[in-house]
Amino acid sequence: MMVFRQMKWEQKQFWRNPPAAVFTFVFPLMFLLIFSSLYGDDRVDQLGGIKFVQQYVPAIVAFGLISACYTNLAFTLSLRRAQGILKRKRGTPLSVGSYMGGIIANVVIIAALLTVVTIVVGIVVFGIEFPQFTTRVFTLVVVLLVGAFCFSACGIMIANIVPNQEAAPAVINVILFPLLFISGAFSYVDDDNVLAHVAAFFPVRHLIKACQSVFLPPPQVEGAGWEPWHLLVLALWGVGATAIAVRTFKWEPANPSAGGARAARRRRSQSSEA
Amino acid sequence: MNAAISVRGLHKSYGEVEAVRGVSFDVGYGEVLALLGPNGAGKTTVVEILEGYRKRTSGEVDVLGVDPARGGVGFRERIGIVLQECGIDAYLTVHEVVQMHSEYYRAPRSVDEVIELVGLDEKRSSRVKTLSGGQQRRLDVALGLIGDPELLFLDEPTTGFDPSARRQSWDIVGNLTKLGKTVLLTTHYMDEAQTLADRVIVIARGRIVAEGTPADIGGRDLDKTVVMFAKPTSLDGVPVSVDIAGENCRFETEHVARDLHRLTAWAIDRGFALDALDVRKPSLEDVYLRLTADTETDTETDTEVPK
Repeated sequence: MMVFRQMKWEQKQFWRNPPAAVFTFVFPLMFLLIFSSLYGDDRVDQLGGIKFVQQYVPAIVAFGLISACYTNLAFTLSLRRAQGILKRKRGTPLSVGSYMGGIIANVVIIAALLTVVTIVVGIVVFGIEFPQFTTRVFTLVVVLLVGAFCFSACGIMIANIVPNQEAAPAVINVILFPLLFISGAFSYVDDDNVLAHVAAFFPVRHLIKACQSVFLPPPQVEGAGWEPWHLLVLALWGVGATAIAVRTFKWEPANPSAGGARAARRRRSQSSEA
Repeated sequence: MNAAISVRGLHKSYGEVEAVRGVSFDVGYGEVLALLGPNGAGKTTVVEILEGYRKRTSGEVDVLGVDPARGGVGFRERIGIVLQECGIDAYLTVHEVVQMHSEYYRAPRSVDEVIELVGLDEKRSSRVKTLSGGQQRRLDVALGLIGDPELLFLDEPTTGFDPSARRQSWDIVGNLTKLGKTVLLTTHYMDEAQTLADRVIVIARGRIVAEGTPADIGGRDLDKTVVMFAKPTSLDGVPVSVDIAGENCRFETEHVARDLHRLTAWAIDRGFALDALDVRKPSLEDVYLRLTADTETDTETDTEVPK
């Protein structure tokens, strides 16, 4: 119940912060439009000559989920930690579980919305197909839930190592963007490519591959499109990141005396004297 | 337990730095206690240990019958915390933030009532990020009160306020004590301690250097009254022994009425106006400055390096 209430407040805050909402939502859709317009009708020989966009929409579905669960969550948490909002919550009877549960439920809703928008744009604008929709939609939901677990945990873990508010964009994106590139979020990266071998150590490529499998029509992928190996890797990353996130979680900035709160107080008292 | 807060031999070290070195005090139920002290004295460290934010190095601490280091949700139901400069969810309105926080408590106060109490009714539909510093601070106080706490911690509640906002805040705290709430306050402002506190503790370099009521702390009640006036053209035959400091004359006395009567009679005789005549006991600030002399540190943090 408390989780649901907190989620409601999180939703309200998300939509009232246009830059964050735009960043989370527009970024994946922008890449979808740009790259699909450029290469949409190209054929991918390694995948039996299907259209580029048929494997690119699911890659953007994965990027959208990462944008909501990892980037947005890590930003929100590191900012709230730096601003002392986490510390304030710690002083109330709100339980950690309810608070984090509300925050995670919020990003999962955003990810779900973004997924629907991406797929609809893919179908309507670029004419992709959703093969065997009735069986594979269930596969997609499971893939996205496992992905949400994995990347939310990673988001919380990475937010813990953000040293201060100013460093947040750099730390969060410097980790993510190279992985997106080598994992095939911006172009097709074949399994034989050396980049793919590196990417296989990290969760991004596994989510992209699991999403693509849902959208690849027979004969490339038969049946419901399950990819147990990719899901297992995502789940393992999720478990590992959760363990680290729980151990390293702090309610306050690592160095409160040098952190944002005191600096802000000094600024405020200076401005009020002026 | 007949004290809301009981502290015995409290020590707190950060690495080799001893921020709090053996502090003991009690706060009775319904009492307002002010912790005074320069920056780096250890005030905030003491308060944050009592709130459950920090673990003590050694000593006994009891807050509302609970050890705050182990106090969970049940403990936080009963206390209200107004931290030093702490962010509030910026994209919600005043009413929404107070409403959200009220949902965290089992028996909260009415949201509208609390907003009115801190004087933010006109801002109830404004987003938090549009509030001025003083208005945000009042919202801080509202969030500290919304759970209807038995014990309220106020860490420098009026820093950065203009004088009228400070008086409003004092009224709020005054109203709380009428409801029998216990308040632990830290402040830099002597007049704030004087107005609000039943009792004052002065902390310097991690130790208590004085304890008493605002009226008698540091032997203030025993201090002589100081009389000052602008130096007249002549001090011939002045009936009290005065010290001259620049353009002013000054003397201390235990017999205020008698010596003032003599002085004014002498001035009328000579036709002196006695400009800028000032009669006062040493202020709490004078006492505070005397008590904390030599301990002012230039560090900005709440810890200090032992010398």
